[in-house]
Amino acid sequence: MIPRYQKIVLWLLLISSVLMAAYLIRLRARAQDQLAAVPDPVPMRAPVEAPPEQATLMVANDADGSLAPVERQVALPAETTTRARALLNDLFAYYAESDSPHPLAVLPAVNDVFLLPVPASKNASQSDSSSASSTTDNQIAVINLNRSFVDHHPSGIEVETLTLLSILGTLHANMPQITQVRFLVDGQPKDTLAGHADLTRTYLTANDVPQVTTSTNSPDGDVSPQKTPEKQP
Amino acid sequence: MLSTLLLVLAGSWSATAHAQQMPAQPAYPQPSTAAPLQSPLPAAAPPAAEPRFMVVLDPAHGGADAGAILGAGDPEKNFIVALAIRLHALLNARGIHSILTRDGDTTLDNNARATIANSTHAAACVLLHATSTGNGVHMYTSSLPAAGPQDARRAFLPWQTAQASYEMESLRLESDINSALTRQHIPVLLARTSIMPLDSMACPAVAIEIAPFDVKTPLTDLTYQEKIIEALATALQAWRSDWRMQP
Repeated sequence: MIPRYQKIVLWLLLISSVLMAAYLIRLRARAQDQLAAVPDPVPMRAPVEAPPEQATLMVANDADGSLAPVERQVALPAETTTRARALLNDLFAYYAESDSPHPLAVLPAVNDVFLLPVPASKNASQSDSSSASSTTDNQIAVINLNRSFVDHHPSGIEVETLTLLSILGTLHANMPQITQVRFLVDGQPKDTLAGHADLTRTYLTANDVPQVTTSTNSPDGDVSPQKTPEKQP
Repeated sequence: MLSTLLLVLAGSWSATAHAQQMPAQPAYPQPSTAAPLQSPLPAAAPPAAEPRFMVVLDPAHGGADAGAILGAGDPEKNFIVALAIRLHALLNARGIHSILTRDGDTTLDNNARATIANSTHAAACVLLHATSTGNGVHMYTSSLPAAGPQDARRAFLPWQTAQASYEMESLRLESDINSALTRQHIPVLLARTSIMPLDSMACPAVAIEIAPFDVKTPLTDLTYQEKIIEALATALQAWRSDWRMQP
């Protein structure tokens, strides 16, 4: 026969164990929420063992809706997919700076870039294809954007369009063999970037990016004021 | 998925007087998954003896889709529908038939918006957005590659690229609106973009994104709003004349 006081102690221990377990689960959930709310401290640019090269970033400006080339020294690997990703990471690092003309969240923007050969039939139909030899090297880039970056991207036709054009323009300026670009978000198709710009279509870099004829930047990275959209007074 | 759908239309409406007005007008596509229309939305208009000048105003977002958060913390969906209702009233007062794709805080997907525009045989489709970024009015036409003359006469249009056949008309409409806004001394930015439902609209269409006039004049400034509404109404009146003179 178990004494009454031992039964009470046993039940109290049991109840306190359940309460402590519930409390610990709640603490764990709260800690996870706090961690998710903090911006990812992972460095924006992965360390790359490659000599720095001069790269042209097509930098967007929200104030006047323009795209302008900016020359930067970027460590660019020789391998093409890593090279494309390094270019885009540098572009978004530029936008994450405090005086950015197109401010975006300080978050990793690009998970992966996949490069695939453009199917021959599509190659033949492209307006910029001038010869068979040039089209055989054309590539389609599938850019897998980071979900957190997309979720924190400002919403608006202008700001979203400029982000996409900036990506397309930067790839076109530095890797002209990339003639088409498609977008994924965390590996899944998504309708829009932040409610406006279409992410479901295939973009042609030669057609969709407004042409900038020359790059007239000084070596220290001054921006050439060549507007792409037409600004009326 | 939708790009594979070649949408119906062709025969019946091209035999109407509207077809006499615009003989090269292509068929209007219909989506396979169109959302049910809300009560204030119009049903497809029956063929009329006279081509009817109809303007479709599409206030963006609505319902669960709040759009951008504007400077004062207001969601884009509320600001833009209020402005669209005022423009709608002004257009009707000036004898221009117009309809709104939504007049309340209702969720409407892009296919349903394009369906309204296409089934109404609209002479002008104006997509209305707002943003706190930049200044003045940003005006966009579709960045789709323009369809060639042979494509423009096709009886069927792909749903996701229907706007490609209306590029020239859309640019003319944009020009009329640009002129009217410039006369009101409102800064205008002209560009091209790819957004839904613009690309699916089989009508002359522009997307208008209204930004603050400047640092001192926010979106909530009523005088600024009146200027924009007046300019848009004036431009659509001018477009009615241009539209009637089109071959």
